[in-house]
Amino acid sequence: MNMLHYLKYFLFHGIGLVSLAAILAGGHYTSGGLLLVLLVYVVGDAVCGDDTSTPEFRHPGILTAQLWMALPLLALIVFAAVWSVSPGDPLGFGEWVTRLSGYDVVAARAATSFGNHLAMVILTGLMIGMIGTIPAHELTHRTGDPVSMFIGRWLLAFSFDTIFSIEHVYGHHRYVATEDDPATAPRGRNVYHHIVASTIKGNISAWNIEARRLQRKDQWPVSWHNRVIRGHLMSVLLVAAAWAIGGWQAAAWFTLCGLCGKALLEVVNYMEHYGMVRDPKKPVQPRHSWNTNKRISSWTMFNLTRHSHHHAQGEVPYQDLKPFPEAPMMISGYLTTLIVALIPPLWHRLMTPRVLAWDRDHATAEERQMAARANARSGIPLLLQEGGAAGAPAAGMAANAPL
Amino acid sequence: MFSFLARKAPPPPALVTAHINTQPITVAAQETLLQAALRQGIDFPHSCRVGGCATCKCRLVEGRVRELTDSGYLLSDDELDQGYILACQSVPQTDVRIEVDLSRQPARRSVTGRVIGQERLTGDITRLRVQLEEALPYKAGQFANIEIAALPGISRSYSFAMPAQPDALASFLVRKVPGGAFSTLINDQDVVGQAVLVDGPLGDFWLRPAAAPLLLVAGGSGLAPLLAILHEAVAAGVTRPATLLFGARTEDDLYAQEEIGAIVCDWRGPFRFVPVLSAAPADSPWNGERGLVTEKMAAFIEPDTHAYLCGPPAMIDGAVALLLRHGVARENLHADRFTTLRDDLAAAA
Repeated sequence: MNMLHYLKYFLFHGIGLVSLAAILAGGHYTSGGLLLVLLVYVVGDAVCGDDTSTPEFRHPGILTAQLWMALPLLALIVFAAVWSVSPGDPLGFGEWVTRLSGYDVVAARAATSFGNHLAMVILTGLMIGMIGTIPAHELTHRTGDPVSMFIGRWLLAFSFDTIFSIEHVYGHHRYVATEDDPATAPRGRNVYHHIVASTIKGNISAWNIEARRLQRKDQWPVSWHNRVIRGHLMSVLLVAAAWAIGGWQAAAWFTLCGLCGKALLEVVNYMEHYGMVRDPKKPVQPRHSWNTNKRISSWTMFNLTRHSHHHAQGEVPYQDLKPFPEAPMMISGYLTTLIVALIPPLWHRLMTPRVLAWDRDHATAEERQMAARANARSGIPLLLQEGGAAGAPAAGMAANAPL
Repeated sequence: MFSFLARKAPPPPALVTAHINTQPITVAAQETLLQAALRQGIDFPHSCRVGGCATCKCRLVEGRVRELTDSGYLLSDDELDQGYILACQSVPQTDVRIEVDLSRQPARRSVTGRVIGQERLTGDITRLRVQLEEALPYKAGQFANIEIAALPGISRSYSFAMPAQPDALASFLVRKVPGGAFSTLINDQDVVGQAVLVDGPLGDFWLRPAAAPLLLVAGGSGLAPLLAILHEAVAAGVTRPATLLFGARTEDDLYAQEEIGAIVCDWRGPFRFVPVLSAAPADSPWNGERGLVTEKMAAFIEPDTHAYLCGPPAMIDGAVALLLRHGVARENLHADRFTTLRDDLAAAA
């Protein structure tokens, strides 16, 4: 068993450390760090191709430890960001880093312009999503392991999203690719609408799931037993900690970064299931997620990229997810696709042909009818044309007599 | 929040037996009831697999399970009192008995799919890859009847050439039979994109759990179900000593060599692979075994051997006679005869 297969997942921590350094170095280094991270993904995924290997790991404990390490790493990154807008030198952190590194971070902080601070929000938000939500997703799927659940929920607290540990597992995985799933974007929706809609509906859904659970146990929904309430209190605690470190502006700063992280997750939800349809009564299949096997994204995101297998078998730990090269494929790696998603005209231009190909090559006869209805509602001209041809067999199958 | 400090997970048990209604299955350590049932070809009702939908709700009649998630998310007090659990979130801690309504969908059914790949492996064997619309649980070693859009009304039996896949991909090895309409089409025409109907699973050829040494004998495309069985056994961490004898005519008729190489490499116990060529030209550089595969078997038979044979009827008959002569018990012999339509007609005459 090649050691490199363990090492490749440490690229995740590498990205986190680079971002930490970029935040502390201040000035143009912060913007440069953001640019570097973006370049590593966009160029790396374009150049390095796919990783479709699924090696057998004899020591999954190492991989779990890698996930757990995300919490101290993220705490440090977010602390550095909060410190960078705090008055004075809370906890003597700046002096300590300066002494350790020989680089005067306090002076660098003072010289950081507004523009570079803007880059810092984006970079920190990106890290809250990548170093926080991604490992938290993996960890909160491990409902049988209390340590993983504990760390996972704290990671989610940074993006005000502890409800994810409820909604994602008991809601999203059940309803994915149907109209009942807040995280599945219907055809034609733009990403900004989705960020708001999915956040609100996801919170409502989590509350309902949790309230029903408590009801079944004869417990009062508004109580300490409610994991939605407890989770949001964890986030409040983090805001309070930021306030304690640097006053109201630090608390506001942290809130801004956290919301950025939450928005990032919703963009990712958008990319992963945009336009998919499914009969709610039938099990989820790999065709109900957009998949990608891009190397850099896969290595630094714990195979979140292998999303088709993840939804078909939600119980499989990330290292055992298979690449499923026959599954419907995303535009590119995660960050590239994310940037495309943020530009709706470009998104629809690139995704509409993929959605139509999905209808033709992946959908069942029943799903094709659902897709035709979705197309008719989409407001996208190309899809509307297809919607008009509802019921007619798609081109690829026309030659084949029905069996 | 700190509940993990109080809870201690019990040590993982060794292999336990679960009775799903009356059918016994083995459950590996850390495996859920649902995973074990599906792996062993039981069409256990399920959907989300993460404890969110309750499709896999079943009743625990006897034994103890560890629940991976709070089943209170989905089950009512009444149901909990009656012993209902979620199969996808339950890891048996002891032998268990489970009651579940399996009548909702029959195990054997027809699933539509689409040909997504055709790969010529040898002069007369093609690997047909099919994307099914939904997963069809089967045991590695079983077969299905396949119908293709281009030949409506014609259905032929082929073994699954790999274990059931989570992405509902299936593959079959189709050997061209002279005069055979289906096999000629698959070997000679482009059928990628065509609709297919897969009806299965069928047959009782699968690996029985045991510790005895394995002797697997394949002739020609009879390697297909054995490859499926071997892949599944590798994934399950089987450590039994195993020997695979593969009979072919010439070196050009040996296929799946890389695939077998990977199995040899990943097998947790001793594994011998012996290709045997029956018609390799005398002057060919082949320095492996020559002759009929049945002539080479004797050296690999031990009295406690469990044998799995798959190939043409003549090979199977010869192998069975030989194994019985060497004292192998009849119940430890499992064979899958690959007959053609002509064989069937001859047998009926």
